[in-house]
Amino acid sequence: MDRTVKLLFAAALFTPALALAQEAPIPLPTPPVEEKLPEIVPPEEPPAPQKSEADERFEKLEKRIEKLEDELDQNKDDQSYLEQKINQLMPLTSRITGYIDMGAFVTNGNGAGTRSDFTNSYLPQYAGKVPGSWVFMGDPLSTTVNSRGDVADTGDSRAITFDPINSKGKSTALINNVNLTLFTGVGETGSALVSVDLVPRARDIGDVAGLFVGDYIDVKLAYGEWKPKLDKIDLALQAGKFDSVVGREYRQLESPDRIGVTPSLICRYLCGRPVGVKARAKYDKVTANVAVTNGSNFTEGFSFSDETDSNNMKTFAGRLSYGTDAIELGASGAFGAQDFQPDNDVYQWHYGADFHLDMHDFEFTAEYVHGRAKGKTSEMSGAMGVPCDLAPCLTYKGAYGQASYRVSNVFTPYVRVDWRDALHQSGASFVYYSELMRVTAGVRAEIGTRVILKAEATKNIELGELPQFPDDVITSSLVLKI
Amino acid sequence: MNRPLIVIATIGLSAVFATAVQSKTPTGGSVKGTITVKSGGSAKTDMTGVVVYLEDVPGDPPKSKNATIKQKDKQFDPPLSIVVKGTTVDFPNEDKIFHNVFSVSRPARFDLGLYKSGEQKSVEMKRAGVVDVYCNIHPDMIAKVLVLENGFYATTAKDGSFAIDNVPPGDYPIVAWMPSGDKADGKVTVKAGGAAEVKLELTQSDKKETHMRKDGTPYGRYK
Repeated sequence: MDRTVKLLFAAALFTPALALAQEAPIPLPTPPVEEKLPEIVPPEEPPAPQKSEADERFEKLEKRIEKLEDELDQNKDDQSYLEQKINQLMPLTSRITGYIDMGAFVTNGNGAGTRSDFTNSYLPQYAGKVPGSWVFMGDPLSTTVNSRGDVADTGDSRAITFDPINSKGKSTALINNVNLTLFTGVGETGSALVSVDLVPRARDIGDVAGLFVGDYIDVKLAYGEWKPKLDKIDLALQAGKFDSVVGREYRQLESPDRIGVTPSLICRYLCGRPVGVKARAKYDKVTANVAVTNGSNFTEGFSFSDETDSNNMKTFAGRLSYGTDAIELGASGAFGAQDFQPDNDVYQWHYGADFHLDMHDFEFTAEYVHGRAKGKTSEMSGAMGVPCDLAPCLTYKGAYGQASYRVSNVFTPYVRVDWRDALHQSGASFVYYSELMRVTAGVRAEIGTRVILKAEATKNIELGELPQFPDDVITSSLVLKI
Repeated sequence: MNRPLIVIATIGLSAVFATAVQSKTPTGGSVKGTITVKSGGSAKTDMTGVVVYLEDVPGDPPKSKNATIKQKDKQFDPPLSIVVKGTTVDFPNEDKIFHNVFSVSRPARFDLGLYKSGEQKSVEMKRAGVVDVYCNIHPDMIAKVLVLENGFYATTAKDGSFAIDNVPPGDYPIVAWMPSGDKADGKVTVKAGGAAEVKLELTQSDKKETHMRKDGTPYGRYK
């Protein structure tokens, strides 16, 4: 190769290099170079471990527990609030109960349980001493038609003249009573109870005698009770108008509680509600009950019952009983000044015994009573052989036995046999000569929890010298509990 | 018999024996002891009726049949029932009168309402503790249900002795309880195959228990 070719080859090689060198910018002065620190590279994060099933469950449980704890706290707050409200209300805990008792009855006579010995033919001993029309044979309270002890009619009775039904022997339906009972607890050991009967009765506004009072209110119970907390003894102290102390029939006075419709012949001596103070103590199987009251434990529907006292001598009464689950045996008595007379020395006494058996579905109750109201006789009246003119006299014995059997959830048939032997005299004003037996049979049906239907038939049988006369009763009761 | 056969037979028998022994090796122990019940400062001669039970034993409570508390002749029968948590208690009314079974006890609050003979109502006992059961009509009807966490319990014999068997090994609180008395607590260590001895003392209370109706008011005046 010649020299020219070599030059061309060299030019071709260096021309692009020169061109590049002409396009390059003028270099600026370079700043001082900072010393670079070595860069810290964070360690690479390990891959997140995969949650196990147990961990997931654990987390779920934790969350659930948190939620439950929240709910628990909320519930605690709610409960605390409610307890505060309850505590505000608790010092007075009240309840109102009661019932409506309605029924219908029919009698086969004039509705009265007595007849006058007009001609002194049956009780000649009173001839010339007491007018025959005022010598009453039979029992003025033998024709009771309801649980209150109201009779169908009092007839010509002189000792018992309050005649709210006054049926004159005709059949009738009636509202026996509307009972309202208010109970109020005061603290943990105190209480107060009021029981009132609203008694709807007819009113004869044209009757000038005014014996028919129409509707009336009967305050049956009104007392305060304190039951101190004792280790071994149940003690209850009562003050006011409370249940009778003697016998045990008083426990079944209210129509829903009473198996049958009517009270026994001796209920008049046992079922009163006197005013005074009472203490009842129960230790194991023994119960003692004592009371000091204005009057006797007789019912207000019978004489010798004085709610407010007429004398300064009080009545002392007591009952001692022994009871197991099945049986109860009791003895009771009372002593005090005779009611409705001013003399402290005219006494009235009473004693009795009672027995109760409740075994399986069979229930039997028997009671016996004996008592006397001494009365008072003036010298002149005594000389004439007409005693008890200053204060009436009463001598009585009586008993009943009642058996019932619950044949089913609904039906309970029952039978009761009563006997009463009594003499009640007030000088020449009246004599009641009562010697009778009474047989009552009936059935009680409990329909559900609030309805009770009862029906019974009573046969009165005059005993001894007394004649038989029509004084039988068929009565019924429909009780609606409130 | 030749030698190899004897060896094989010996090994086989040993294996069988070992298996048999292993199967009879107890995995749990027992708790035995005596409860002394004092009344009026001195020990009673009859110490039956005390329930002795262990607490915090691992495992689920055993499933048990329904328990029954009858209402008969105006009484609860039996007056004391011991059940394990989760047991359902049936309350049949065998009286021909109304009863209203209720409880306001914290472990089981219930009100079964009024019902008569032939009817039955039930309650599941979900929590452990003592459940006092009453009738809202008849104040003398009283029953207690002791609801336990587990089935490891026993009741005492006349001399106060008791035994709880097949208890898993461990340390447990032990409680002696009776319906009319206080509660006695203790601790017990149970070892497999062992028998732990416990002695506890209780004082019977003569204090009369009173209770109110379900609405907190006293019973009626005749009751």
